[in-house]
Amino acid sequence: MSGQSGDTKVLDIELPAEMVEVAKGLSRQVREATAELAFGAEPLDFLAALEEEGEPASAPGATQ
Amino acid sequence: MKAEEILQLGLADVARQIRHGALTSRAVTEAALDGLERRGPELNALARLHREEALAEAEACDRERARGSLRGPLHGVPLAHKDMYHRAGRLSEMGTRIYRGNIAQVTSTAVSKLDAAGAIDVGRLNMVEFALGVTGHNAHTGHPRNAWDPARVTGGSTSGGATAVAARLAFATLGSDTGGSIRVPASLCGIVGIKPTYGRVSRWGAMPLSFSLDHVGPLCRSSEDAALMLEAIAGHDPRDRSTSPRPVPRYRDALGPGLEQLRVGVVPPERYEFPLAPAVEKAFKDALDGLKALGARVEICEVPEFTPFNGLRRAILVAEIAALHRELVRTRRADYNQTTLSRMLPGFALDSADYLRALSARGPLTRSFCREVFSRCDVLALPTTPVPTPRIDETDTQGDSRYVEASNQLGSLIGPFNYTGLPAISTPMGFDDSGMPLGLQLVARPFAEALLLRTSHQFERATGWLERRPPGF
Repeated sequence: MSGQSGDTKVLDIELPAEMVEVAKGLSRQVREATAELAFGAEPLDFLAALEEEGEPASAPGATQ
Repeated sequence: MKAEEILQLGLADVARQIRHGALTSRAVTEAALDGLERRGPELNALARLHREEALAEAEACDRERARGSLRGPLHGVPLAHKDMYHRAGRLSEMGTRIYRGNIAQVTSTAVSKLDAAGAIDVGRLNMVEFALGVTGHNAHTGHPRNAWDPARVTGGSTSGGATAVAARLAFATLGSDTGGSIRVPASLCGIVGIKPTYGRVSRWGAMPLSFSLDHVGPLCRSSEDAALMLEAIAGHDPRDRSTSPRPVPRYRDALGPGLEQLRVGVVPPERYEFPLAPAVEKAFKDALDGLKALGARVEICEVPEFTPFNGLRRAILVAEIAALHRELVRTRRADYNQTTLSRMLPGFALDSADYLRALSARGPLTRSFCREVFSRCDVLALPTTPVPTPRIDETDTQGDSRYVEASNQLGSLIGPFNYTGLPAISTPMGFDDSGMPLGLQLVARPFAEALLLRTSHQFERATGWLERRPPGF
């Protein structure tokens, strides 16, 4: 999985060419999936989203 | 009661019998230790047992009960867990030779909570190296074998745990789910596994794989057992800042009501990343008929395409693994399994801006997913895996592209709910022509675990799939 022609080195770590290709594919998927999104959110907004969209804490039979 | 009969009992049953004095903790713990010791190795399920400590603890539980004192709802019940749930002073090897001989410095919150509920920790079960992989392969420990057919994979990464629970060698176990590691092995081994909402259960003191995607949850032999386990381990933990301050529901009390008027949304097949195998498609159709027969309103529910969610999840996963493993990969690369490296290395080449975009998009995408889907249905239904259980030899390809493809396929219906953090449960929905179990996945809005457990519990009672046992167990 290493030492082949076309391999690259990142942070002292030898990366086979196919791994770099997988990373490029993921980057492409991220850019496509997020292209339409207006940014301004930061990662912790995710926790707020779960709380806001979550089952009401007082749902019948749900909480003690 | 004979040891073999004790091991056939479910978690809730055995807890009840110990509580009422019909069984002693000593007898149950001895049966569990003997069962794991005798038959665990043939499934490659067992990492190690702590026999003397467990028996001493069981005897203490029996003395306390005789004095009229119970520690909690799991008083005196023996449990064994994935080898990544640390207990201070004990070995914790995380499925890797890199950490062979590693002694844990801390006790994980989930284990502490089970202690507080009265459970007895009898040992650790094999897992995929660093919990990275959904097939279950691990060349270091030997591949765990599926109790339904030892030539087939268990699913992973909670591989030893899932097959031990299926084989009646463990009453329940703690799993972790970063991209299917509870639900996939639960599905392939014919048991129940629940990945709670992100933030419902503390991850503190458990081995991290990807801190944005890791979830802690139980694998059990029924949804009633899962309710008991989840109630014990859920709740806010100041040491895991992602945990929610919400109170923990009494999940066991919510199992009773039927499914009349429950709106079950069915994910249209064109939303899947891979097509369903015919056996899965048939079992899923039968499962939907079963839900209808219970009074649920089952309708197609338009949902966003899964492929972008899977891409976003994989980007976060590989970036965070690279951050955690950079020094180890630099210094101990030859000691990793090839299967682990094949999943891990792309993270070192991923652009940091793309990692942050994937992370930042989680809030908005989770909001829009919930609003679009849960305005139309209460529970989303889909198969847990699109294909039946592969054989070990056909997927043991040393981490090459066939292994990566098989992994992506097995986890393709799973990953969107790690990215969105939504709760999801897998429960058996039938068997294929080879006699291998198939799983039904149910998903709900954040913190609606009680609804999921109720739905799967009613489904289990109506279908009876959980009454089947692996041949020879």
